[in-house]
Amino acid sequence: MTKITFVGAGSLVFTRNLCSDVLLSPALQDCTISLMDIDSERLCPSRDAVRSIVDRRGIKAHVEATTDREEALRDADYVVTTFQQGGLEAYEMDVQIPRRYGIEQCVGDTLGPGGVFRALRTIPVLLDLCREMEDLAPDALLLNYVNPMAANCWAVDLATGRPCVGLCHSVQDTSEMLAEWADVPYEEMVYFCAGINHQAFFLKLRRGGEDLYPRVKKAVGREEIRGREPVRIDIMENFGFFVTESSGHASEYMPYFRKNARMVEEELVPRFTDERNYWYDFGRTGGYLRHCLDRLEESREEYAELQASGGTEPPTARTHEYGSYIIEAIEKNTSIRVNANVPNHGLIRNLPDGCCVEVPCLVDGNGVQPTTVDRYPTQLAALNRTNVNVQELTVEAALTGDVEAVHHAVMLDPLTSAVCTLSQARAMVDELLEAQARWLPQFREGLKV
Amino acid sequence: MIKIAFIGAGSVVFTKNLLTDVFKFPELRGTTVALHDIDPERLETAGMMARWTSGQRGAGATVEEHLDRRAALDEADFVVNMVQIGMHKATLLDFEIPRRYGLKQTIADSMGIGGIFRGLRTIPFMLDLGREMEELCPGAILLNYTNPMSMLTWAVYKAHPSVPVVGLCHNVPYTIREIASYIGVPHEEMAYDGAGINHIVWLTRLECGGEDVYPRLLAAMEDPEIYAKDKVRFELMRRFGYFVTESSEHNAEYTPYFLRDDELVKRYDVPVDEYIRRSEANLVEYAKTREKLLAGESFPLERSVEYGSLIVHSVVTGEARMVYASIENTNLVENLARGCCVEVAVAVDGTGLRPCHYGELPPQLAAHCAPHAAVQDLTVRAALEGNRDHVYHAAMLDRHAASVLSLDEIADVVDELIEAHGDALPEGIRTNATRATR
Repeated sequence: MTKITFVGAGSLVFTRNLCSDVLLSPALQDCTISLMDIDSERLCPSRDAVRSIVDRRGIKAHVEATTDREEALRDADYVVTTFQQGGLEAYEMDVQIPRRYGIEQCVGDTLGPGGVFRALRTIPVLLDLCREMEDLAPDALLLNYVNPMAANCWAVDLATGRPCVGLCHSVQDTSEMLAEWADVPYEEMVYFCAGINHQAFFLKLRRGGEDLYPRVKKAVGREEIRGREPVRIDIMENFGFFVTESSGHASEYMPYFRKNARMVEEELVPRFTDERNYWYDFGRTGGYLRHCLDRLEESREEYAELQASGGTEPPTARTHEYGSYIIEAIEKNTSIRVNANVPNHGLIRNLPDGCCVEVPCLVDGNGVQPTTVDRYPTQLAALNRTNVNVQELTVEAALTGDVEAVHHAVMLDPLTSAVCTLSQARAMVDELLEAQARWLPQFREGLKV
Repeated sequence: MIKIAFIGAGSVVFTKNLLTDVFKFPELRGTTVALHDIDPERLETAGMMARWTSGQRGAGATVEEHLDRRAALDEADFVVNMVQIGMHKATLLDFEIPRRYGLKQTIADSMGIGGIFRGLRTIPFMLDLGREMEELCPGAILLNYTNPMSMLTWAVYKAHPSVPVVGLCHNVPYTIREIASYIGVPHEEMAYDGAGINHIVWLTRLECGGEDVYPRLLAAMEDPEIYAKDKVRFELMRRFGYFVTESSEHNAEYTPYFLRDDELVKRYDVPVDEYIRRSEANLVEYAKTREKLLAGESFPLERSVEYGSLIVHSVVTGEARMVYASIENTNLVENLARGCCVEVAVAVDGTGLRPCHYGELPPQLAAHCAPHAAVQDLTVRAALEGNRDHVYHAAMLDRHAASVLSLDEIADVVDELIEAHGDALPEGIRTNATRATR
């Protein structure tokens, strides 16, 4: 029987959605779902929500919940990671400390000082997990949803070589949006997308023989569309291709958009005119953090509702998250294509060997098989490399405990280097290292604090 | 509506098999099938067969017959190539001349002296086809089924880089089925990785239900009945550690170990001159097929293992699939030469074909493929540059020829074959009589 373990299952909404997807797959309805979180208070709502799905659908799946990671991992076939090391407490530091140094991060979970520190906290946990899997689930496939995707997956590959695939929904979200802009039925649109996570590009966008880029370029002339994605449209118009992660995110991976608070508030924020983009607060600094804090309240309310009503009707359709489709394709030996994060071994030749790339992968009974990207445009590779530079040093810092590598990573971050002097960047990193020391075991010896 | 051009459609049975596969897909109903052959009677036979197949499948295909290749290619979405340049007569020369020098061959269509000359007489055609595709159906995918697979595919991507080309062969799926039968498991449940060059794809991972089945295959080899079915490939597995695709009769002539003398031929049951018999049988089968068509008889309509229809279906519908195909080595197999033609896993979807990166083959397996890739390189260069010297170089470097013949004998075989094939060969090779390398 297939056993699927979720590590960090306390993320209620995400866990419920992924499990609902899995349980909607006919091939997986008798699987064992093992939910693990270190916080039993957060774990219970997830367990109840997933059990409620099983009960309501009347299927045979077995749902267990535990705070003991070893128990959860034992004999797992798939391990899905959704945890957030340090939680919102650490995340708040990722945003607020750099802000005092003039770094205006909108999300701050991918690159920038926030992304670097999120990686430094996360990688030790992932490596511990992999070590436990060596004994308890040696053949299991690791499906990582934890950000920062690229640095985390790169570290796992470098340190353990374990089969790991990094999953995100930015490609699905963006492709759906582009189909809408091009005014074509989503099912009829064909796309080829590659790059690095959160900065991959739609290299081909077609419907039958028709290139859809001209339609997209026409659509972005409309004010209401431009107001939805001002940054990504800028990037397309200047680099030639549409990027996968939303404008709030995309603005902080580059030095052009948010060099200071005035620029953010007066130049960037007014360009966001679409109400649906509330979740990162129209590109404002700390927008996503505030969204997460709000969500915390909402999920408490949802849980109360769940308990009161004895469970809401479970979803009847699968989300576009790749996780359940990958597991299904491997188990049933059917074929699907996903855009997933994998080590760059010969896949994109103008990106560094071994870095984490997001490319189309064919998944079937043979596993996750990445495909190569021929002639990746030079300007896109160059742009990606400004991010890969930071990821590489972050991974080095996480794996070696070299504090200097943390400094180098942040100094080379495109946004930080557009704002801070070297001594400011150094002071900021020192402050972050001190504030987050309890989550950074790898630096204990190297730290002066 | 999509248009598929079949070039060399007079290979009637193969045309029927591919069309049976294509018409099985509801999404490919109404396809335009543009058949081309230079032989009017074979073309007419192919037309009858295509219409019959479409009718049986209720596919509503539009079948066109074109003696003019350009008309067949015009605005095609896919071009399937299955020509045989020189047909049976040329095949006989490839066998008979080397045989007089004591060089035995089994199939002689993909490597060795026979492979080199089949390559030399087919590449000029491939170059014309590539040129016409650039002009008449830019962007159409060329699915090449004609041997020698590696050389022909290589010549196209080298001379016409804008033509998307893949070489297709059934050696991988057939081998997986054979292995499954040797170890008694359903072939659908096998998982595998493989890489190499066409006909020499090494299966470096072979699993069933998560279990490595190499121990079972090694055990199966000890059963004399099973061993007798595939002696050459079992010996290669015993010595090199991995099972190879294609077949024992093919692989016998790719190495110096099985075909050098009568004692070896006997010990390993190598069917010398096998392809001559198959080629004759093909002629008989063609004649019978034509008679049956004219008499209104039926044919079996089973799905084949060929990848062609799957690729068409995936590109048209966007449904992703994995196939094995021959394609340019853009560092896909790291320890085979850049630019050589490798056979690896290739994913197909609505955006076309994208090969998977394989990495490094175990060194002994790369070393086994590399000499053949070098011979293919020399043959392609000989044809593209009209360089006769490279024909000698290629022949001297063939592993099997070198195990039987002296340098002088190899040069004489080459000269005789060039003379015998005459006009079929690229001009520079025919007229440029230099033998500087002798």
